[in-house]
Amino acid sequence: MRMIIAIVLWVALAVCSCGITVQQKEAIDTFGEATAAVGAFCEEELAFIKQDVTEMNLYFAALDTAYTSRGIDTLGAFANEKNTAARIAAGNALRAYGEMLSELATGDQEEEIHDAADTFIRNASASLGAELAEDKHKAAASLLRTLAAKLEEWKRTEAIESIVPRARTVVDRLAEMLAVDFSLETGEWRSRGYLFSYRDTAYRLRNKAQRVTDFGGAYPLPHRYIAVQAYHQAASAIARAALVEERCTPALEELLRANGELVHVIEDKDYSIADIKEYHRLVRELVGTIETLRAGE
Amino acid sequence: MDNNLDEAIRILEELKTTQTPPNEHIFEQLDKLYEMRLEIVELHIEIATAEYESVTAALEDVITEGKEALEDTGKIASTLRKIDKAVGLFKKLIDSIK
Repeated sequence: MRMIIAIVLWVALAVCSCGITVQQKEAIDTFGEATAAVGAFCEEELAFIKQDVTEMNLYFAALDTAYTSRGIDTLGAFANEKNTAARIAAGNALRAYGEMLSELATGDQEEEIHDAADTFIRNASASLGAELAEDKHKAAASLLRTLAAKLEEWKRTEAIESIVPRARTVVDRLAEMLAVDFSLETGEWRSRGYLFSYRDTAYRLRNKAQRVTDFGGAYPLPHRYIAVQAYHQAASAIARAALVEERCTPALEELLRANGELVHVIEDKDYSIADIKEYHRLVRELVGTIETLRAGE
Repeated sequence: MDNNLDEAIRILEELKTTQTPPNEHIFEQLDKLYEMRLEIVELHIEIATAEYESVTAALEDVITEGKEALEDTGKIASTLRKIDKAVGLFKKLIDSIK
C-alpha cells in the first residue's frame, strides 16, 4: 500500500509551470518510445520463456520414465505463475510509463494518459512486491480516481516536469529487476534470474535427449524421435538465451543511464540528449533482432 | 557453492564429450547437478550454515576428482560417486531449511 501511495504521490505532485523546448519534447518522446518498446519486449519474451519451459519440461518428462505425475508438477518451478506474473508486471509497467511520457510529450489523448498512468501504477506496485488485501485495493482505486481528476486540470508540461524526476527511482528499480532476469552472468546464486534458469532447463533437456540420441540403437525409434525433437528445442532455447542477453542487457543498462539523463534534460533545456538517442538505438536493435527471431518461429 | 557447482557442471560436460562410447552414468550425474542448480536459484539459503559448507566442500571434491578424471578415465567412477555424496548433502541442506 505504501508503494502505491508513494507512486501516486509523485504523479500527483505536478507543480512547476515552466515551458518545455522542442529538444526536451523530442528527448521525452524518444525515451518514452524506447521504454515502451523495451517494456513490451520484456513482457512478450517472459511469456515466451514460460511457454517454452513448459514445452521443454514435457519433453523432459516424456524422456524420463522415472517421472511420476507428481515429479512432472515440480519441473520448471522458477517459471510458475506467481514468479512470471511479477516479472511480466515489471515489463508492463515500463511499457505503460513509456507510453504515458510519449503521450504527454506529443499526443492529444487525455484518456490514454490516464490509462497508461493507471497501468503503470498498478503494475509497478504488483512487481515491486506490494501484495494488497482487497480493502487496500479499494483504497488504491480511490487514489487513482483522485489522480485522474487532477490530471484533467493539469497542463501536460507541468505534469512531465513533475513526473519524470519523481518516477526515476521506481523506473530504475523495475529496470534493475529485469536486468537481473535477462542476465546470464554467473555470479552468486542470488543474482541469477529467469533467463539463467531458462537456459539451465534447456541444458538439462539437451543432456537428457543426448542420452538417447548418442546411444545408437539402444532406444526404440519412437523414443528416439522424441529425443531428437527435444534436442532441437533445447538447442534453440540455448541459442535464444544467448541472443536475448546479448541485446537486452545493453538496452536495459542504457535505460538506467537514459532515465537519469532524462531528469537532467527536463531540468536543463540545453542538456545533451545523446544518451537518450543511444538508448533508443539499442532498443531498436533489440526489437529488430527479436522480431527476426520470432518471424522464424 | 555457486562457483563450485558451475565448475563441476563444466567438468562433467567436458568429461561427457571425451567418452566413446558415451558413458550413461555421466549423463545421469550431470542431470543431478543441473537439477541442483535449478533448485538453488529458487531457494533463499543461509550461506553461513554448516550444511551449506558441507555441500560446498563436497563439490570441491567433485571438481578435484573430475579434473583428474579428464586425464585418467580410471577416476571417472570415483568422480561420479562424489557427485552422489554432494547431491545427498544438498538434499539435507534443503530439508534443513524447509
